[in-house]
Amino acid sequence: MSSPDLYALVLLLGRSSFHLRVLLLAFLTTFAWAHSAHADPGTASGPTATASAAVAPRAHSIYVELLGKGGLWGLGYDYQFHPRLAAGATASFFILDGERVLSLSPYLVGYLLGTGHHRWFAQIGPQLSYVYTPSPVPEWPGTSTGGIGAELSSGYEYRSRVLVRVFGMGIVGRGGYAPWFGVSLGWTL
Amino acid sequence: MKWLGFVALLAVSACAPTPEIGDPQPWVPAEDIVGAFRPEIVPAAVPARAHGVQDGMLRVVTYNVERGQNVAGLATWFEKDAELRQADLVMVQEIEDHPGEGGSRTARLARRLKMGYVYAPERINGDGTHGTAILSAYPLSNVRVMQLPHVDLPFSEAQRIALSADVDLGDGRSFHVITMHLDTRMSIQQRILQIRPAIIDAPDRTVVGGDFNTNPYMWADGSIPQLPTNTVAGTDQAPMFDDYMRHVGFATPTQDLGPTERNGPQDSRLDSIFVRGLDVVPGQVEREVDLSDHWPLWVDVVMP
Repeated sequence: MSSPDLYALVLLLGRSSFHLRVLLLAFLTTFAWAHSAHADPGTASGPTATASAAVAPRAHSIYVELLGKGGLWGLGYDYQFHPRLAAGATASFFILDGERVLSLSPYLVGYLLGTGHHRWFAQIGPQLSYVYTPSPVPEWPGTSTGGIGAELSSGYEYRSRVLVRVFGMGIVGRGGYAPWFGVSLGWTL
Repeated sequence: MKWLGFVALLAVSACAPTPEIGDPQPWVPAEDIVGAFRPEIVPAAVPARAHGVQDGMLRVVTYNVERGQNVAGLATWFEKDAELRQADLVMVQEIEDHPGEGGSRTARLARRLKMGYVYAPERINGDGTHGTAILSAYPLSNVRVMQLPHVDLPFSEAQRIALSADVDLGDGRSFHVITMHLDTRMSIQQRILQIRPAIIDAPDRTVVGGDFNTNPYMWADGSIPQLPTNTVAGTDQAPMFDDYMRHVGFATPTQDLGPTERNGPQDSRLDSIFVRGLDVVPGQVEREVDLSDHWPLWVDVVMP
């Protein structure tokens, strides 16, 4: 991450409200940890480990998503069971202005282009969401809603010890359709 | 250990702070308001242009006119459209008053429609004011204004008001009318908290109408619409808002009338009319009227 990028993020932190500030902080912290782990030669096992990562991507990955399938953020895991295929899920829970939002998005990943560290992927899967809206007033009981939709996303992945994904996505559900996007950062094992 | 810190940060990030919304304020009689925000009140001309006198039904319209710059165009629609020309009461949001235009836009529209009116400025806008109005073929009295609870949105925040009056139908019959324009990027909970002070103690016979901005989205900090959740779970605020109004005794005759705002691929039902203590017949949204980003909608209220 370049200095101008960091400066822009710091500016964004300063101007954001509490909720976004904490999210950005979590995201930055994750990035810093991941970056330091990647740069620290002591965490790798020398030339052999580096070479094997280039030819055979680590199969397990865990990541945090900013925006993405959960809407605001998500925590995900996937397992690559074939050189071109993986399966996983992203889960998310957050509270917005008192409304509780829970979502789960299992998915299949297909690697369409690229090999080694740099690849282009597509993900597809259902998305389950549930929203509980407690009442802020005594005369109304509040409400809840939920549904199942489908999401298709596609984007760029960088994978070594660190996992980075940047993607666009489309969602279809009872509320119609919508475009969205997200960024994932994590580790591979 | 780094995982513990990471999980702790995520846990904190999942909890939003309490919505920042101001305290409820009381209704203030129009005559007690001074300065630029003093409402402009002109009684209905006599004899009033009231259709309800003939057929026993009052046509009630609400319309966000998006500043109302084309007053002549607005008046023409209300004169030529088969449904709008039967209007007896028109609640108007986002109308303005600027010097050098030959009177406030509300005054000029009311003059063309041969109605009385009240215009309540909500905020200063350039050299003029931006506000809410009621036009009526029947006399208006007991005009009051309420500063609605202020919501601290990250950008384009504005003070919102509710405007109310009694509509005198003659022979001792009357009903109460309240109109308002609520904030934009709020949660349904904030929306309920913003309207509540204006309607919770309303009289038995009350019509509430306006632009409630009941958009289809959940918002993160009033700035990021949660499109995946909105799309999958269906978080349209309009039916939730209707549900709240039913719980406080109002009928929701505009719940099935469809979108009231043109917004590219995602039209929304932002505007509504609610009625309590009076019989009401659902009307329709006049989508051919093209002078605003909203469309006017109407219902017929049975005269008490």
